[in-house]
Amino acid sequence: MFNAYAAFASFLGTGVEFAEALTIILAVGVVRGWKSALLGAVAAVVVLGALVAIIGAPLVHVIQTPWVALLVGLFMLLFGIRWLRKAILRYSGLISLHNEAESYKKELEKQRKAGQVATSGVDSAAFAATFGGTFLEGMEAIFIVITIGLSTNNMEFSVIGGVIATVVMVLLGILLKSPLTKVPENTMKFVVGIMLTSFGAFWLGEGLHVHWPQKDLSIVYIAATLLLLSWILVARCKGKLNVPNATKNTSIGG
Amino acid sequence: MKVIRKLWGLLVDDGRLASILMIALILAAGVSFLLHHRTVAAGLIWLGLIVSLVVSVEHQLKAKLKSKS
Repeated sequence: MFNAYAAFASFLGTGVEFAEALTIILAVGVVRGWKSALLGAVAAVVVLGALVAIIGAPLVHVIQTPWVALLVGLFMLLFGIRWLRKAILRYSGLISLHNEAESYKKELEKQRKAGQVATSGVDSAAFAATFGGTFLEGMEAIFIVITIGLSTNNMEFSVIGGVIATVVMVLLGILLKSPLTKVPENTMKFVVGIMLTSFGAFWLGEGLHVHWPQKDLSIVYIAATLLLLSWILVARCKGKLNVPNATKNTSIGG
Repeated sequence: MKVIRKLWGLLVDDGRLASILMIALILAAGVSFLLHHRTVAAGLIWLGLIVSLVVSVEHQLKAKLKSKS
């Protein structure tokens, strides 16, 4: 069960982050040229891969140490509940949904104002923009891959999920050559948020030696509780804000 | 600096939510290790998730309603 869980959470988490990175890469590539834009992105992916190997691999050997397990569980819980909260706020209309088309326009504008494009060699502005963008977005992705991999004791599956998501995003970028506006980012963040929060809470509880009724199955009822609570909170906020029936774009799962 | 800000931001973007959750976890640790009520401790973690989310979202809702009026 945990193999699929690890791979799926890593796939969704990495996918949503690289969809955002792809928007930056596309905008930089269109304005400042593809060579430097892609070089920056590839360099960031290599650094991120190295970080997974450097940080993730040694932690696999010490994850049974109680304080390491506690720390990993705490990080996963805080990270997951942060994504879950943000997704609830977006569904509710309390903050606006992330719009890739808008981000793309802004990035295009930013790149046009970034000075002259280098005619030979590597364009440093393009390299810095795609390296920085991919690295910062990718940090969230590797955070998910490492913590999920450690806590489910399935680092290979977690890494595989992340790698597949990266490949899928690269292929989509090559094929579509436009921002991935159809990717349901908020829904993906919501699902990953529920998964990380429920698993993080369970893992942290194990570290604190609590007794979870039904043991591993408690992950399912924690997740169910969070799902129900999210639905109640979204409905309540929409009601208070008098948000018209905008369920097409903002309802949970939509 | 941007990387450190990003790293911190990975974990905490609402102090209210994080602090309520941390209090629940500390209470759960105390109940589990000192009082040995391990099922109660599990309940505290579970409750902490709910309360922290409700308080955080309700605060955002109040702020939004206030800004609208």
